[in-house]
Amino acid sequence: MNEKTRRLFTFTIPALTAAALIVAAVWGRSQRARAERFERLADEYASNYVAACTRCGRELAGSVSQMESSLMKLRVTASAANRVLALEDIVRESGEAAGLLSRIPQSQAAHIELAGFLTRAGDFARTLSKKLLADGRLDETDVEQLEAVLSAASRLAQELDEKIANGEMPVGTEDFDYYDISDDDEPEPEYPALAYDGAYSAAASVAQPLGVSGEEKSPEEALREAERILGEKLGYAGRTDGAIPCYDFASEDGEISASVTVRSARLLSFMRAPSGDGGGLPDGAERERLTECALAFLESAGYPDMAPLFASYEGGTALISFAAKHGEVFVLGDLVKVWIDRGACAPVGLDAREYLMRHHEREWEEPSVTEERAREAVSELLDVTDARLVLAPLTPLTETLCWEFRGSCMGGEYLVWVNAATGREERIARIISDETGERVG
Amino acid sequence: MKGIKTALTALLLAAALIFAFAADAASLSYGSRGDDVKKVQSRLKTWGYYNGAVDGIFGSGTLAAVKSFQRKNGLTADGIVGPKTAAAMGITLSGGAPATTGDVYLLARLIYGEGRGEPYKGQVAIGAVVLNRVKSASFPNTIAGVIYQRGAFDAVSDGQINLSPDATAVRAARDALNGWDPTNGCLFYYNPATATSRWMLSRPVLLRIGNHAFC
Repeated sequence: MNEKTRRLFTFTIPALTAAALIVAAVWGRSQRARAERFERLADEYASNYVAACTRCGRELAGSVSQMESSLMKLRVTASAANRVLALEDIVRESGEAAGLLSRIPQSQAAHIELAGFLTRAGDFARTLSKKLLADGRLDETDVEQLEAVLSAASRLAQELDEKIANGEMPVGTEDFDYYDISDDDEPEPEYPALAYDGAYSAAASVAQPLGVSGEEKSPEEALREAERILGEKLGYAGRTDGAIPCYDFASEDGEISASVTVRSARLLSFMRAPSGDGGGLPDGAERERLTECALAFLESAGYPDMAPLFASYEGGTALISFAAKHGEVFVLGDLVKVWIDRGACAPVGLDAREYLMRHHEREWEEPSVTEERAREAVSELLDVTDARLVLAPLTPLTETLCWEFRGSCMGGEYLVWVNAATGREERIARIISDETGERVG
Repeated sequence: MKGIKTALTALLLAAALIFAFAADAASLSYGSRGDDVKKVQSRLKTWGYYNGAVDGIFGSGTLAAVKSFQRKNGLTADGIVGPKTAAAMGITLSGGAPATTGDVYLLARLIYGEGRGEPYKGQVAIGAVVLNRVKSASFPNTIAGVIYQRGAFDAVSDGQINLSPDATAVRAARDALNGWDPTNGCLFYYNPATATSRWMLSRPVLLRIGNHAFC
């Protein structure tokens, strides 16, 4: 072994090995510290998530308990003003409770009734609040239903308190199935069915379509009607039994979809891809052309006597909302939306769901309040630019003849509906205008 | 003769200038400036195509982002934002506000995460289910509340909701928000090939579109 080799084995290799070991040790230590940091971070996230879920659970119990308390106060309140305030408290508390319930990691399937009860309790309270403001009193049925809500809220408040005390409130780190009920789950208790006229009422959710009361048609008859209206060859694509039972049809290339009602064979909806040409707001002439095109299509589709309400322009299409017009009265519930391709000035879509749900033969009294008198009910701050008679769907089940005033106030545009029988201001809507057009908010 | 040639050249130049001006008014390309460019940049940035500043100047970064967007959405990748590209982005080029803001974009992300590859009608149907839940007493009353309810949608659980939606998903979201409901009021859907929930499978199916059963 020469001197060079000896030095290699006695100094260089051991020195390099020692250096490598030191580097590996330092790297290993830093990796371990990094892994510990991630572990701590994961623990921290888990703890924060558990804390957030626990907070939701406790706040849910608190909201239901406050709701119970407001319902109890309502029992002994004699003043109409205080009753309205208590009802508005219930609206707020039930809304909070419903929101908190949706954030708790529990199966939706297991709590679908509870969520519905909380939302309906608030909606019911809001309906009663409006009734009190209008009539100054509640009737016997209302009071009985409030007692049923109180009874359910009391039971629920107690159950939630017990769950928290027993540590049974889910906190979120465990696996769960949003769409499943385990064998251990008890069936949901029953909640009171509330009969009232509000957006979330059971009556509104099971409402039958009034505009399709004719005979049941065969798929062939419905197909012929769809092909006649659209002027395209279509094929049968199935039947849908939803709120408005319908047959579905599609073109061979799948570009056109159409649904025709089983009863009466009326075009419920259709959609085809637009060309995408045409941007910005149209000028007056184009607007008129698009509206004329939509009206002609509505006529051929079996929706005559319609008048345009609002329009927006996006993605190369104009979306125009139409209402039925009887004489001077706009029937706002009979609403049909039509999409027109701006490039081709041709219909590319229709949705008549609202119309077919509400349309029926109606009769209404002549307005006993003149436009001039109704205008007196409108805020002085509103600079009224237009007025017309409308049959307004103020609740899901009722329509009210109103004077509709359109006007502006400090840069905002509004619609104000004044009851044409009582002269009372019923509702205010804001018109949202932007570069894509107008819509009501 | 020379005079005629000069006049013709001037005429052609003038026509070209007028044509270029008209084209500029209806489209955006490299070198364009203004609020419309800002809208395009903002949209591309939101969707992850563009990393630069939203400064209203159509430079090389914007050009590359526009081409990338066009390629992904089946448009001619020429780097010019004309009516079709603008429509695919959901914007108008005459000073109009973005059409795909807020709820439209969130809904489009869910539709893309849950239903890309499904027929167009099926994509609108996914959006309609979300909106039917918003209207139902048994679900949160906002689009964000419904979409982010824990466990409600696989695309939220597995992070696919964070993918950039394509133009089809944006259009489907807009059609759903404008009222088209191919499901006729359904609140749930599932893929029969992969669903395991007994509760879901026990619900009556109202219709099938593509791989999804709606109930």
